[in-house]
Amino acid sequence: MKNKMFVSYLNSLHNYNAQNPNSYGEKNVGNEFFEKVMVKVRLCDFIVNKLNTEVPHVIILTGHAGDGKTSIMYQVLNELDVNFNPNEKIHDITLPNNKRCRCIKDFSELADNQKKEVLEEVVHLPKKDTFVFMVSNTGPLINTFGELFSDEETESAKIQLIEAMDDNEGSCRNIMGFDICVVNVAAVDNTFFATKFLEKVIDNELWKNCDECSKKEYCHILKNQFLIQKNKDKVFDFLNYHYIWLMEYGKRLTIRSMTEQLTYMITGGYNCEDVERIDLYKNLFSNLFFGFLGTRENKKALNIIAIREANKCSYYTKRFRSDEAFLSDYSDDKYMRIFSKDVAEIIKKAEQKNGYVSGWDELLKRTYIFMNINTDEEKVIYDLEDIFSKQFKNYISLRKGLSKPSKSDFNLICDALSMIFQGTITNEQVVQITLSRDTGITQNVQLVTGTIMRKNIKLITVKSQDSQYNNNDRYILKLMISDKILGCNINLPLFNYFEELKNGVISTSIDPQLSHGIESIKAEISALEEDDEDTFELIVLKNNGTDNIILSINDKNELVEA
Amino acid sequence: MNTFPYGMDKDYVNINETKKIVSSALFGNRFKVDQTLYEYLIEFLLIFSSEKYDGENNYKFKFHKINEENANCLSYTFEPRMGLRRFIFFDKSKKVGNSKADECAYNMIRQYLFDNLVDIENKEEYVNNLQDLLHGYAVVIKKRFWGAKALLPICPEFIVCGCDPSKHERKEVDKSFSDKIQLGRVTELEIDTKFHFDKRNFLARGGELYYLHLLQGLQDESEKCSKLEALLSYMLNEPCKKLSKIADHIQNIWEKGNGFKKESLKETLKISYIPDDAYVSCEKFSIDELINYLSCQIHPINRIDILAKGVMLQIMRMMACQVANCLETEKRPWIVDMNGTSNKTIKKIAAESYINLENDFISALNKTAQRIEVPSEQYVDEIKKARRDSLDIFRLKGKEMQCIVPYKGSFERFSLSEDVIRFLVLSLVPPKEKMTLKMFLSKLYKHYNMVIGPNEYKKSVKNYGELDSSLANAFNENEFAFQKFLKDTGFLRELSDATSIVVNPYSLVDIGV
Repeated sequence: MKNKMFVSYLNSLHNYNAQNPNSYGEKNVGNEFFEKVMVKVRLCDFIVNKLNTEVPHVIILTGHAGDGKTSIMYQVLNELDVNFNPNEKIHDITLPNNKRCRCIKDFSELADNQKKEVLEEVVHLPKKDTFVFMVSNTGPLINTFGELFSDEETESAKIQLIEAMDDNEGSCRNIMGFDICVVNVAAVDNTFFATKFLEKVIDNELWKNCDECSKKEYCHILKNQFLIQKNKDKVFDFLNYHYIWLMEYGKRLTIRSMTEQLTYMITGGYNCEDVERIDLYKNLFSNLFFGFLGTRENKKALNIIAIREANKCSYYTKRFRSDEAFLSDYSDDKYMRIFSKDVAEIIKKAEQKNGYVSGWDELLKRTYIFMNINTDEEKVIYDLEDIFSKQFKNYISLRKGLSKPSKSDFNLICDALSMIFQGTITNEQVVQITLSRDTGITQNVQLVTGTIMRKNIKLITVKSQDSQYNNNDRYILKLMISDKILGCNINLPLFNYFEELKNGVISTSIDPQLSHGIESIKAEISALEEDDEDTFELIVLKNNGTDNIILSINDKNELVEA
Repeated sequence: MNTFPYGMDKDYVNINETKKIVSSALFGNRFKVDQTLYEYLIEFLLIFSSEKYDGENNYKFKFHKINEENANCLSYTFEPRMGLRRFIFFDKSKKVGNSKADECAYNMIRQYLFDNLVDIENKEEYVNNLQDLLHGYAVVIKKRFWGAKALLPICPEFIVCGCDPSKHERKEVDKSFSDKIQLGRVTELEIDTKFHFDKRNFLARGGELYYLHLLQGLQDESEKCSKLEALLSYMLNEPCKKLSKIADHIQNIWEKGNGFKKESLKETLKISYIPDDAYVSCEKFSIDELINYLSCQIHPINRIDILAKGVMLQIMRMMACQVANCLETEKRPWIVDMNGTSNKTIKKIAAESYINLENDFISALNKTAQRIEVPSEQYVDEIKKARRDSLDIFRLKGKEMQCIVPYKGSFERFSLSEDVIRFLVLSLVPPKEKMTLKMFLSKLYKHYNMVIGPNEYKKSVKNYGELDSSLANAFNENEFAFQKFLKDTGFLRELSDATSIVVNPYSLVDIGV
């Protein structure tokens, strides 16, 4: 129990046992371990740079509760060599360039009658050559800001502030006569955080005291640290992909949520004194991560938001092409071939008890997802496709800017557009825009209202707005048709849906998120130029392909083939 | 009781004092339960797009200009386009009475088309393709006579009026037709002129009432009026030009083939009235919402599909307004259950409030029946009829749009479906603009009396004070489910866990106004 303090610190970061004092930023920064596990973010540099080089204005850091706003303020002040006192709500500092700056730790925590007074004062400070750097939740900020103005102006003031938060450009703008820069952390991709944080947490230096502990032979906490360390690449890759997947599917997690999941995944909610001799497989981090204890689901763990979301993904219930290697192989050394020796031993021992228990296969798959030792490139790609989706790896590489859209991505999009408009792929050269209805039944004769040459369609990547705040750039996929970039993004769910369309999966009641994406694409494309010519092109869908009929009305008012 | 348009009092007196029609006395002339959801929109668009005459000029794609002379006789003139309708629907419908003359008329129009297709070998296939293309836009089919079916009103030619075959006259034609065939001479196709257009579809004029409701709101609002006219006319004339051309061409071929003159085929119908104070409290809302909605650049087919539901929702609101108006009470809140919770509290409150609303309908009908002095021997029947032509419309159409759930079973209550939510967002938030979820919820309450979250519930229950915590929790969950639904449908972005904004992501249509 030599590492008691640290393990108990980790446990204080999640709410499995309903005691998580340190999950609140202002408490956490005061802890001795905070410095050791803190992940430095580029947003800090962004703000420091503003304070150092720009003319005084109000910098507001806002976002979800638990998004790490207080930590960012801590980092900024640290960078500026100012001591951060978590108990002091408002304090004035002098910047290295001798300018003054008023820091407000959490505006939303001020007493209601104080808020208006404080905000009233600070918005005027830039005119007195003083910066303001404040952290605030959005709601109180928007409301109090509205209160600064007359009844007629209130609405407009609020809307302008909301616009700034939503645009999240990071530049200073004039809002109702005040110079304000709003940085909304909620709209910033934070998926990089997980691995950086975990890397610090499993740093051997923090665990060296455990060497002298009497429980070290059977301590699952130490074992988890060791196994994560040993399978670091696989674990980190998976974590990174998983959080990106969630974000793309509209389930972005806050820093606090990720922290909760990652710390719980190591300790399982146990403090050093609670560690007993139990089978190691039960509290293996790969089980804890998804809210399982061995083969059983642990309802209590699902109270942790991030665990609940991971559990909903249930990757381990999907079919993997690598299944055969461990599900239908009965040889003695099969686990040695897919896992490292330590893992294989734990699993083999567990199999004796659980081999025929329902949920065993899923347990194996969870272990496989985190700790397989496949290095064969082809197999690794198969795994990614099976765990996530066929287009996932490709999408990730486009998202990270590691590659540009390829010919096959382009074909995928064009085919999907044909499917969306006509219900079938009819022409290799063009995408025909038709006036078809979304009733689920494809109309067998359709009128073409516009034609887009495939060569005029481009899939491009655009750097995201939040890249400027981040450690890594993120790219967004967009459609460009005849040099016009469409407003809607091609996100991962759409990309996956396109792949399914290509493979002939047509579903009529798709989830609203997708139907919205497709609806926007249709709306935008249909509004593009309609061809004006006096010809009518009909597409006739038949069992054995399609016919294209082109008619026009001649001078004698007769219908002729054009 | 005054009417709108002013000067229709005679009509009103006729209905009140002579015919004793309760629902018409309360809501205007007249709602009928058999009208289908799309027909409200179609009828409204028919009147809007038809020719009107103001004493000096003809105009169409505009609202009526009311002056002293025409106030008591607003009318509109349109083309029934029976040729086009016969071509599209005849072959794919149940044949009534197996009329030979009808069959022949259908074959004639096909023949005209064959003749019109020049230098083409497989003419039959081409004609079938054209037929399939147009039939693909059919929207009201049911087991109806071919002339009473309807198309999705995406272009002016697709906006069809109600039509009723005049059976007696048709029989006559059919008989003389057989005689003529036996004599070996078929020269004229009288059968194509034997229809009644003044009966509307199943006698309903719901779309007309909606038109009058808007027209009333547009008096002294010339700017909004021209904007709405421009938007409606853009919606009908711009996006589906080609389809419009094809349909027009087929109709023209038929007219030419049969030797009909366009002018002589035109029909004129008179517009009736609404009680002048019935819908005043929601007319501005209806107009502003319609302008916002039509300003969005949406796919032309979806635009009409969603609009049909939106118009219906506005009509439901009209009815609820008049009920409250008649009873001289506050409008009832529509407590919307978003089904987001296993908690049954909302379900119960919502069901209770829905029952109250239905009871109000009945009270209002009774009050009206007493006002127009329905004789006691007819009283029960008249109330039953009136209930069918008002409350049943409200309820059945609400269920069709999934605004009232469940389709069958107890605990009927308000809910919202994806299309209706889409209409609400696009009509309450102007294109490319945004507002906080709180602002949106209060707008829903202001415009529709819809209650989703705890704040609006508090407002709806006067003198309630603070909600007790379990009730507040239930409404919070309900609001959260609504928020999640908006997020999934792409209309909501979360700025933080405390603040979300509702966004209308569509761009503005380019109509040059």
